[in-house]
Amino acid sequence: MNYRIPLRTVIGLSGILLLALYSSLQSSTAAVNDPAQIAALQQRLQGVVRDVPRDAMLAYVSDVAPDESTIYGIQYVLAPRFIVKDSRPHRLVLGNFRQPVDYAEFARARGWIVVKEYPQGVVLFEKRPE
Amino acid sequence: MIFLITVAAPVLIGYLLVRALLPTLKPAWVGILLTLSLGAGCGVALLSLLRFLGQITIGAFWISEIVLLCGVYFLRRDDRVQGESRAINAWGWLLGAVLAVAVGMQIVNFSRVSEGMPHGQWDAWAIWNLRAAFLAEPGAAWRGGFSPLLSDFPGNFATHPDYPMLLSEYVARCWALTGSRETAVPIFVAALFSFATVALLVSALTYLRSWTIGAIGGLILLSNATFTLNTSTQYADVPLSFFFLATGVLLLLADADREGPGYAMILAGFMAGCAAWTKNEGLVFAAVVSLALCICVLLGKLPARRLLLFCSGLALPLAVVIYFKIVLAPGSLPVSLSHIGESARYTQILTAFWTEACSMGAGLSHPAAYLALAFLALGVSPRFLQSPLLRVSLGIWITMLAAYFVVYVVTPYDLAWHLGSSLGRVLTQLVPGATLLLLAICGTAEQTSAATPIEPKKRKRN
Repeated sequence: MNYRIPLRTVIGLSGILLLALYSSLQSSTAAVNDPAQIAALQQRLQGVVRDVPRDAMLAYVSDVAPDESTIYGIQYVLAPRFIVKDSRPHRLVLGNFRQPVDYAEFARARGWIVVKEYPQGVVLFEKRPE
Repeated sequence: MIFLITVAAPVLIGYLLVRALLPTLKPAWVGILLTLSLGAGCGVALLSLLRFLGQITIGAFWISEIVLLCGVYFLRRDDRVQGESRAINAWGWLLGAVLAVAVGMQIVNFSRVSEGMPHGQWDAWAIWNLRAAFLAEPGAAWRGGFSPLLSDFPGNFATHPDYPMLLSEYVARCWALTGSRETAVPIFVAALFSFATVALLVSALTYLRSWTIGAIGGLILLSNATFTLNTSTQYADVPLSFFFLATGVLLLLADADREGPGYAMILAGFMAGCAAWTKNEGLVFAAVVSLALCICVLLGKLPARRLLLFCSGLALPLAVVIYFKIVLAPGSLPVSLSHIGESARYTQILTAFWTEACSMGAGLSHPAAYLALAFLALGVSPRFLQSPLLRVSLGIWITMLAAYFVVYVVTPYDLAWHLGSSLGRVLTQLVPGATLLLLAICGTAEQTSAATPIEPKKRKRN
């Protein structure tokens, strides 16, 4: 036996088809960029990742106040190493500078030594044994 | 090659386990899609639990995975066949074609976002993948993932060591096996849960109701901006929505098979437990589902044996979560009861819920519009509305929504910040399951047309 599809079913299903087509074609997402710039941070810190032991704890120093995005971004990139406050026991200090700085002078003023300078304002310091 | 084996293993293990516990479902393609999508999430959860158990005991990760694979391969299958092959009508083909376009667009959008943000959004790298980096370490270094050192710097965005570990542990497993922190792993996991959620919704609705309803379900989910935006963030909300949905699907499958052994209830319990292993909201969900089923047994709507089967599935993941919460990462419950009497908060929360619900779609292309059209076209099926476990599931979803509301009332954090940073995501958790339950009570195109037979034309007499 043949069956007739009721008008309300035709209207409803046609509406769904049209809406879905419209919605699919409108849904195209433009290219997005990461506001936290994690990939760029990974690039900047790749030397530190290579040189610093995986079980190290590093203090952090910068010429700008540390914001959460930067601190947690660095922690993510350097994990399983820990980025800790200066008050914690640590031997190494990660420097992250935006402006040109005399690293040797910066380290001497704090009783540290420069372990290695990396491109783009990244530098690794070591505390002198007391 | 190692990457492919690493990511294929959970799908295979989960598929074999689900295939053993459910009867063979017809139509065949629906049965395969449903088993595969359930199996994908189930396998990821199993391997995540297995890795965690290995970490707190003897390790031996590879060996335990191979033993598990052999175990599920030799499980005795449920040999029964359920369901029937159904012809797809012209509307079904048209809806299927548009669903294919919508899935294609979602794949393109997912790829674009993942290419631009391979590490995911904030919580992905600040919480879930950060912890995975520690969990992937050999020896005892994995415990660093719960170290208070990770929250050494002040701010709202602590790394939450008390958050459950399904996602982090699974990503860690893949990183440990492949030997590198490839971003492809969390991207793959996000894709797996996103598309498994869509596939599970479509296949479950097709099996339980009809292909027309299944396709409409897929279109509604893919038109939901809140859901689609969260698929590529690498957060735990879409995986959690998968486990919520899977629990609902399995309860309905068990309800549709009242004469059978009811092994779907074991899987339902396991999926509810996996929700608790994914996010704290999942703990609330597991408690609400368990309580609802207990009430059903007390009212005589559900045999006690089925509740026992549910509890047997729930036992392993829940035991692991309790151990984790008590021994490894005890957290505090941030509650400020003094807010309960502040009526302005209720207005603010209701307004935020309404705004968020409105932003699930743009203009006419809103999931509510699809639902309204679906009910206009297909009406309501009284038979399904009377199903006890469907009613219970609707109650569970409403209770979860109410629980989220209460959490915002008593939150000690700045309410505007808390709502703005989380409401969209927590609603995402409920969206696929809510879509399933709402469409499960729809009639079908086949029913509405069957109700209106065409009268044979009378021949004119000459």
